[in-house]
Amino acid sequence: MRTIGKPNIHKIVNCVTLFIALFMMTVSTASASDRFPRPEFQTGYEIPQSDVGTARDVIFYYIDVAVLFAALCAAAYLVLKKRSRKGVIGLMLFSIGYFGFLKQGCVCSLGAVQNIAAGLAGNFTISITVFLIFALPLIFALFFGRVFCSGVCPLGAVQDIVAIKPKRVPSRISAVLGFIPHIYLGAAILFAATGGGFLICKFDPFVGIFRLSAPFGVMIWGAGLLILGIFIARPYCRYLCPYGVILGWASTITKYRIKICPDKCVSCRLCENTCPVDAILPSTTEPVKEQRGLAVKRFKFYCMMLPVWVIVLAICGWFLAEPISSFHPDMKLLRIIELEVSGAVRTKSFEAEALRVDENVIAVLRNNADKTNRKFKLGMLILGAYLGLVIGAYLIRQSTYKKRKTYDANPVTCVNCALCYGYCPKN
Amino acid sequence: MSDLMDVKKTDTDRREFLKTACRILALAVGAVGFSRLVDIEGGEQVWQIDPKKCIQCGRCATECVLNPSAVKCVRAFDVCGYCKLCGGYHRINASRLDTAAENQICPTGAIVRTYIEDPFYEYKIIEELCNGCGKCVKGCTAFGNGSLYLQIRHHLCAGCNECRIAVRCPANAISLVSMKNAHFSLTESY
Repeated sequence: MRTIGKPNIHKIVNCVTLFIALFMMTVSTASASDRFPRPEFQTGYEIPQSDVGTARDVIFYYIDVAVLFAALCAAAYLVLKKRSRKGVIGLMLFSIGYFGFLKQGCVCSLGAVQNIAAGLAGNFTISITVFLIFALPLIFALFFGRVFCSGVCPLGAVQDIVAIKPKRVPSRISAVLGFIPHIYLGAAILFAATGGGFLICKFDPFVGIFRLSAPFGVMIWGAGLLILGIFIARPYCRYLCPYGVILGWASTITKYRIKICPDKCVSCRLCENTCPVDAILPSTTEPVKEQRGLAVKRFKFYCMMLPVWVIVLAICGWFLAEPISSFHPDMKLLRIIELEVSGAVRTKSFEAEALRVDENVIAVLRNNADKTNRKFKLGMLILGAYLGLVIGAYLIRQSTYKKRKTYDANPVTCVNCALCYGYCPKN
Repeated sequence: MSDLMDVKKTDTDRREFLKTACRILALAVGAVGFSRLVDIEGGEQVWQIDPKKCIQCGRCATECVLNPSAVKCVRAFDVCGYCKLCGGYHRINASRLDTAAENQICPTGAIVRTYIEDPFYEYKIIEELCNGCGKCVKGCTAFGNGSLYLQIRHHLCAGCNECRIAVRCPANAISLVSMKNAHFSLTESY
C-alpha cells in the first residue's frame, strides 16, 4: 500500500487489521464474520435493518395460470364456435403482449415439459402452477385440438403474423422434417432428466424478441427463423416444436375438431391451398386399382419392418450416447479440470477456483461423469427405440388407405389458425 | 342400403367410444402424475444464490438476461464492522482512503460512504446503480467481515425457467429454492 499525505493513526490501525485479516484468511476462510467486532457507537447511531428483499406474491403465479386458462377458453371458443380468424388474430396479439413481452416468455408450456421430465427423474420439485402450465393446453387438446397453438402460444403467434407469403413445402421434405420434433423432444427430456440443462429454453428462438436481449447466436437463429417464416408458415411449430409432439398425441383423440365446411363439401380444394401448415386431408378419390394381394403384402412388410426400425435405431442411439453426452455440463466440467490438471492450459478457470481441485475432487468428477454416461446410454437407447417406433408407425400409416368424403383438417398437425374458414365458399 | 348405414353408424360409434376411453385414460394418467409429482407444500420456486458457495467470478453481471442484472449486492448491516479501510469500498492499492472515484472498487459508484464517528463509516448500496459484479463482495469477504453478498433480487428477477446465470455459475451456487425455504438475508442460516 502506498501512502500519500500524512499518515494518521486510524490508517495505521486499519493497516494492522488488514494484515491480521490477511493472516486469518490463511488460517480459515470460513468464518469471516468475526474478524472485526461490531462497533459500539458513542453518537447514538443505530444499525439499520438489513435489507432482506421480498419475493413476488404467490397470487401472481396463480394469475398467470388463470390468464392461460382464459386464453385457452377464448381460443377454443373463437376457433370452434365463432369460427373467426379476426378473433384469433386479436388473441394472438394479446398473447404476444401478455405471455411474450409482459411475462418475458416465461409462462411457457413448451419449457414446462422439461420441468416435468426433471421432476419425474427426481431432481426437481414441481409446483402446482408449473404442472398446470404444462397440463392445461394438453387437457384442452384432448377436447378441442391444438387450440393452444392457434392464439395462446406467443411463439406460434409471432410466426403466424409474419407468414405473409406461405408456400407449400413438398410433402416428402415435410414428412422427413416432421421427425425433428420427436428428436428434439427426446433430447430435451434426456438433458432435463439427467440435470444437463433445459435445451428448449436455451434454443428458444423468439424469447430474445420478448426480452429484447439474447446471446448473439440465438438472436441470429431467431431472426433466421422469422425470415424463413415469411415463406414457410410457422417453421418452428411444424419442424421443431417439441411440445407440438405431445399436443399431437392429445389431439388425435380430440372430441371436437375443426369442421372446415359447415355445409356439404364441394371439394373445391380452396382450403387445401390456403392452409399454411399443410394440415388438410383431401377427400379421397377412388383408389388406384391395384392387386389386393400386393397392398396386403406391402402392409405386412411395413408391419414386420417396425421391430427392425426399433432395434436398429436403439442400437444407433446406444453408440451415439457418448458423443452426445459430451455436451452435458458434467462432462464439460471434467474436461476443463482435466486440461488444467494436466498442465495443457495455464490459466486457472473460475470452475477450478470454486472446486478447490485436488485428487478427491477429480475422482468425484470422474464418478459423476461415468454416472451421467450410463444414464445417457440408457436414455439414448430408449430415444432410439422411440424414434424407430415413430418412423415404423408412420410408414404403416402411409401404406393404408382411408376413405374420406370431405376435406378435413388433420387434428394432429392443424394449429387451429382459422384461416381456412374464410376461404370455404360455403362458409 | 339401410344395413350399410347401420354398419357405418356402429363403426363411428365404436371409434367414438375408443376415443372417449383414451381421453379418460389420459386424464387419469394426468391425475396420477399430479398427485405423484406436484409438491403442494413447497409452493413456488425462486432462484437463489448461496453466498457460501459464491466465488464472485463476476458472471452474474454479464450473464443475466436482464440488463442490468437482477443480481445485486446486498448488505447485512449486523455483520458489518464499519471499517474505515473497507475492502468492499476501496481498491487494494487505493492511494487515499477517501471517497474519490479512483480509490473506489465499485465500477459504477453504487456504494455510498457516510461518516458516523471516528473511526467508523457506514456503507450503503444504491441498488439502481449496482450491476452485480461482486467486486465489493470479494473485497469484503477477503479483508473484512463478509457483510456484503450477492443475491438475486426477486422484484427484478424475470424468473426464467432456466436461469442463464445458474448455467454459467462456476461454483454451482445458484439453485431453485422453494419460496417457503428461501432465505433472503445472510444472517439466516443457509
